[in-house]
Amino acid sequence: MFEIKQTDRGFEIAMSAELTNIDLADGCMAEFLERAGAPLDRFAVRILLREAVLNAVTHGSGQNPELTVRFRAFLDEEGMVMEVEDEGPGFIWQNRDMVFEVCGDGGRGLPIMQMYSSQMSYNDVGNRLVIRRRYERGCVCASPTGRGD
Amino acid sequence: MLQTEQAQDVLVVRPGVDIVASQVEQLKKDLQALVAQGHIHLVIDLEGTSMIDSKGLAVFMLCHKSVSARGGSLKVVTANRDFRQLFHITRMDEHFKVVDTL
Repeated sequence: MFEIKQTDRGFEIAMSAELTNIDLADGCMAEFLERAGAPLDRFAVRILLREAVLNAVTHGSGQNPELTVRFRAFLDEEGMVMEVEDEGPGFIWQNRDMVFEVCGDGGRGLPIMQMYSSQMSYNDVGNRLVIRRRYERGCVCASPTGRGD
Repeated sequence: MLQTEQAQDVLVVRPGVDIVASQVEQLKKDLQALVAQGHIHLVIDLEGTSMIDSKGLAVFMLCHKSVSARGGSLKVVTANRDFRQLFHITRMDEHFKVVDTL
């Protein structure tokens, strides 16, 4: 399942918790960024989306295709806002160490998000993440439409 | 399928796909097979790759550990600034070389 809905300043996706849906979501973001033409670091936005949704699909949902991951992205006056929510029990994000564990096979997702985001926050339970990436060089767009018009 | 090219004792590998969660299991198997065949000096050329994520980075580290344990080496070739920055901020470039060109 992969359903996308355009919104006023962005888009929303409801997807089953499968790895291939991360690629589809990334493709939607790439198209949106191309249309919007906003002064954003596109690689940063795309890797933020990938890591956030990857966490929701794998850790939050255990890659159970019966579970739904919801993603929402929109532009505001300061930049791009992305919200990711899964149906899992969440995790104790407060205890996570943000230092890179470079020799291990995992554990890089959260630090990467921290490095590339301007701001990120989880809800108390840890199954809903909000990430902000500000426009480059302090650019402020008064009326971002996200539609390239 | 991986594209490979032997250059003296080094095997140049071109995955040609994005090195992301949905692709890494196959890539991991392919690289492990090459190492098992005795190719311990590997160059991974990222031409044709447009995205890397944390799962992809883990494959590079796994490959590095695998060839290093056998006395070999891993080098990554990419001129992509975003990739080079990603290897740098995750400190992967402290473990293996990341260079612009072959």
